[in-house]
Amino acid sequence: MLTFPILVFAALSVALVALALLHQAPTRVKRALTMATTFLAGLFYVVEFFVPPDPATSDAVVFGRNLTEMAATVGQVTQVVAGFTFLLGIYNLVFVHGYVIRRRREGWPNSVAFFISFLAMVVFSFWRDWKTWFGGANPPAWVRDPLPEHAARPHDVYTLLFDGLYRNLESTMFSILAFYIVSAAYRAFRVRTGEAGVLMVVAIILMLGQVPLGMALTNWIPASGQFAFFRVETLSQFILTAVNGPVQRAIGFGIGLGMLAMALRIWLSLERGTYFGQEE
Amino acid sequence: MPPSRRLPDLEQLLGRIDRRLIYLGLFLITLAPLVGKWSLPLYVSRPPQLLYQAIEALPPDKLVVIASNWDAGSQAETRPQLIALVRHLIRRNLSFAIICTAYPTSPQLAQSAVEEAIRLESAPDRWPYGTRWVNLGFKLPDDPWLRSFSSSITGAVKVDVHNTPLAEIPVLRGVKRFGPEGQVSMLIDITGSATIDKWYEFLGPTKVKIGLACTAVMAPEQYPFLDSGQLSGLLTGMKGAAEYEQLLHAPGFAMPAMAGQSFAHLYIILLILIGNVAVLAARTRGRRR
Repeated sequence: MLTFPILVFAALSVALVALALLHQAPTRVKRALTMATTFLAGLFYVVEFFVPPDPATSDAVVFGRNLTEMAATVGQVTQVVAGFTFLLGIYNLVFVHGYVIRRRREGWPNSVAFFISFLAMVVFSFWRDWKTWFGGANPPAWVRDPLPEHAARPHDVYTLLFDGLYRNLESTMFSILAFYIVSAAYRAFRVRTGEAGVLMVVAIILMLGQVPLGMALTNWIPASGQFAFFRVETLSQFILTAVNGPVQRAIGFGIGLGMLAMALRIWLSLERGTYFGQEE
Repeated sequence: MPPSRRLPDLEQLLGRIDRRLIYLGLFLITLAPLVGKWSLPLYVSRPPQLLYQAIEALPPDKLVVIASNWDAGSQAETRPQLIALVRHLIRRNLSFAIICTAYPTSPQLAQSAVEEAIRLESAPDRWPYGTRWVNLGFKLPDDPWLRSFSSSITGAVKVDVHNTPLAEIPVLRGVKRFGPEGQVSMLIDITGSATIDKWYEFLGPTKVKIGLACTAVMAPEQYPFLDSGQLSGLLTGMKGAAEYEQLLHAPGFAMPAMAGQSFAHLYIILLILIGNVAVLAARTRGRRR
């Protein structure tokens, strides 16, 4: 049972040593390593994509190596690498809020609230799921409610924190947007030009077309026949498909071409900017 | 003599209305239909009908993958979508797997929504976890992982959300690939984030059907994909969820909530018009002078 923590510890130690060595290396070495890694990683997927697949398995095989199966391993590796961004995020939050509390900066009680909520979530999440992932004894009922009759709403601290607090707080935060939209619509949406007038008419048709009350305004028009087009839901769908669709297509083509050019520049290390060679 | 005080014009008067009063108006106008349980007739548009028909046409012996990529911030729109879609899958007797790639909190939110859908269909005995459905948890949506997931599900995911190896989960036995020649017939992305583009990119070559249920603000970008057939159907925000509930004849959260949304939209339109009447009045007065 101890094998897993030992492996995690060993992997972290190796990663830290490698990171320290990289940190000490001269800039040109770091740059060459970055360029080589980027190119090889990109080349792997190019080869895997362009090699004709085996008709029986649909896998790309080169010199007896199954690249499609290797892609799964590479996918797992990138999951681990990307997972470190979470650690970086946590470190950043702890550092920033710790600094605010130490210096008693304005709003420091909010930073204390961050530490309390962060620790509460971490402790009760790990405690609740510890047995699932690492084995050991069952957590007490107030940490993980085992009763089947409480399945819909477990009576434990974790559920209180997650369902009772987190879900409601986040929903509240986003629903505040509705109030800002109302305020902006009232104070800022002024028809001072012809274009603004078109925008307002289209916005009103789409807003009415999205809700039953709006649709009810024109439901006296027959659903089929020459006047059916003037029903608000039909007008709304017409704007979304016949007017909005081509515009979105054009934007999509533009973005696609830009992404292709950007991907090639990054793959071949041709990109220049803050993180691509300007640090010297 | 004190200078004569000019009366404020309509635009100035409207500008002086306390914004908290406007907020209170929105709060009450949204709340009243919900508390009063007002219901309004709903017209089902074409995109939800297409999704409904796509699910109706799925082969019964294949799995559906649901990418549940929403968090608590967009749950008013996306949770009823997930519940309605899962209810349809249960009625069609189609097994499904949940995967989350946008938010670390999504697996738990999806789990509770699916369990609610199963309860609403009175199917806890017929739909046990592991035998008819599985939650594969959260994975970071980097391109290499999505690439490997699209070519081999069991190669990219090793354990489910409860740390059970996939080989021990009956519903995933023999499941590997997407598409007509694979074991997964459809992927439905229920999302409050820009996740669908990656599915087009990586699942397009497999020819698997792709369905989308997204927040209302994201939907306009998806109409070209619906027209081209890359998207088998589309649910737009809470309206999409309500329309799907109507198609299923299974009212849930979304159908009554649409009354609240209706009045909120009318309120906003009314405010825009009032604001512009003032501008128009000022402009007309200026011309007269």
